[in-house]
Amino acid sequence: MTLQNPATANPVCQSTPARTWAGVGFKPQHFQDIMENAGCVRFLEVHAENYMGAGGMPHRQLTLLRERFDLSVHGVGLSIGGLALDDIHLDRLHKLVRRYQPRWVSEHLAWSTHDGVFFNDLLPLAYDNAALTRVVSHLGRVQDRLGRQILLENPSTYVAFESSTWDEVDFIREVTHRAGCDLLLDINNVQVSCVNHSRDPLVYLNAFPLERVREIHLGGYATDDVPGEPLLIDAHDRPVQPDVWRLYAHALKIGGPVSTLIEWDNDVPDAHTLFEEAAKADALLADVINERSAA
Amino acid sequence: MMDFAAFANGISQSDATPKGLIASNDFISLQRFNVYRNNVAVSLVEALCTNYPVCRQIVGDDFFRAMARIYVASNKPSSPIMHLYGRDFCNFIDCFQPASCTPYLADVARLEAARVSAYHAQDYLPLLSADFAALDPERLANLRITLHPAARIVRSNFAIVSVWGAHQGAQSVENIDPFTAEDALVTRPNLHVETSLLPPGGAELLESLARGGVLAEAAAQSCLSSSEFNLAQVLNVLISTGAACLFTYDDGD
Repeated sequence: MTLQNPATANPVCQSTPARTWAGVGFKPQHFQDIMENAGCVRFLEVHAENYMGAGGMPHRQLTLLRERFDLSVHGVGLSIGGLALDDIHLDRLHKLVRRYQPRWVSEHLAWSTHDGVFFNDLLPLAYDNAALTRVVSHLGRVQDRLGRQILLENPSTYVAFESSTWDEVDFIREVTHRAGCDLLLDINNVQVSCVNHSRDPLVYLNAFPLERVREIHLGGYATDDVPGEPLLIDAHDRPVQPDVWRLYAHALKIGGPVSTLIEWDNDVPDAHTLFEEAAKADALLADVINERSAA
Repeated sequence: MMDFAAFANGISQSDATPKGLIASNDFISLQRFNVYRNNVAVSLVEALCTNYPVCRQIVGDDFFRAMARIYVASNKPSSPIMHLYGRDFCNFIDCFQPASCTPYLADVARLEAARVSAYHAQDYLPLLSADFAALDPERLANLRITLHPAARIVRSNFAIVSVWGAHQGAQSVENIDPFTAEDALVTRPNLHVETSLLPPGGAELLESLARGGVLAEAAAQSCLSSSEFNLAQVLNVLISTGAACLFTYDDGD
C-alpha cells in the first residue's frame, strides 16, 4: 500500500448511477495510467479508424481496456453525409464492432470522402430533402450491416448553405425518426456552430431531441482571433470552456443524466488532467441524479 | 442539391471557394471556408509527422511541415485509415529538390513506412532459436522459411539503420558516415517494432526466402551477390529478430 500524494490523488467520484458514466477519449500514452487508476473514468472512446490495422499494440491495448471498461467506438471516416457510402470501410467497422462489442457506436452528421478522396475532416452538408433521404438511407445501411443502432453526432460547422431548406435541429430530429438511430450530443459543437451562425445555443439545446441522446461529448474550442464576426474552432486542444459547462448543466437539467465523454485530441495533456475534466462532468451528473431522486 | 465537387475542389485549390455559402460578405465567407482548408491540410501534415518522426527530426520541424504541406496539396488520402497515409512519401522526397542535401532522407522515410506497417501487421508468434535448433541438419538445404507477417526489408545505399538509431539516442550522429550502404530488417516479434542491420547478403537471402525459394538456392544467390555473405550470421539475425514464423521442407516429405 502506498500513500497517495494529495496533489496527484485521483478525483473523488461523486456519482454512482447505474450506467451513466464519465469517460475520456483514449490516448495510447495514457494506457498505464488508465489501467492503474482511472479515477472517475468508467468508459473509453476510441476512433474506429485507429483500430483498423490487422494486429499489434493497438488491438492488444484495446483488448485489455475492454476487459475493464465500457467502450465507445467513434467513427470519423464513414462519410455518412456524402454521396456514396464505402462498403469496404463499413465492413472494416463491422469487423471492429463485432470483435469488441462496444456499448456505443457513433458517427457524424458530416461527410469526409468525395470521388475517392478522403479529406480527414468532418465537412458540412446542406440540409435539404436530398440530404435527408441520403443520410437516412446511409444510416439504414450502416445499422443493417452492424446489426445494431448507432448514434449520430451533431456537427461543428463554419459555413452554412443557401440551399439548406431544413434547420439543423429539425433535420437531426427527422433523420433520427426515419432512420431509427439515436444521438450523440456534442455540446461543444452546439456552442461552436451557434456562435459561428449567430444562433442562441440555449434555443438550439431546448429544441434538440434530448430523449434520443445516449452519449454527450464535451471538448475545448478555440477562438479565432480575426477581425469580423466571432469565429469558434472545434479544436479539442484544451479544457472544456465555462460556457460549454453551463450548457452541459442545462442539457442535463432538461434532458436528464447521460454518459459523458471528454474529448481532448490535440496538445493532449497528462492522464491526470484528463481525469480531472472527467471528474467535473461526473460531479455535474451526480448533481442532476441527486436532484432527480430528491424530487 | 449540394455541389460536393465544388466544395471538394475548393478544399484542394486556394482560388476556388464554392458558391452558395451564407455569409454577410465575401471576406467572412472566405474566412469560414478557410477553416476547412486549414483543418484538412494541418490534419494530414500531422498524420505525416506521426508516421515519419525521424525524418522530421533529421530536417527539423519547420522544414518537415513545409515539405509535408507541399506533398499534402497534391496527394490526398484514398482511405480514412491514417496509418496508411503517405506510404509513397519517400518517392516524393526523392524528387524534392530542397531535401537533396540530405540524400538519405527518402530511404529513412522508407524505413519509417516499413516500421508503421510492421506496427499494425497481423499478430503471429515468431520462431525461436530452439525451433531452429530442432531442425533436421540433413534437410536444411530444402528448408523453406516463411517470414513473419511484420517482417520488412529496406535496402539502401545509405546508412539508414545507423541514422535511424542515432535519432533514438543509440549513438551519436557525428560518428556515422551516411554514405555507407545499409540494409534494414524491420520486425515485430511481439508488440514492439525492432530495426536491425542486415549483414552482407542478408537482404538477398531474405528476399529469396520471401519469394518461396529453399534455403540452398537462396544462399547460393546471396553468395553470388556478396563475397562477405555468411549464412550462419544471417540466420542468426533472422532468428534473433523474430523474422521467421514457419519452417517447412520441400523434399517431398
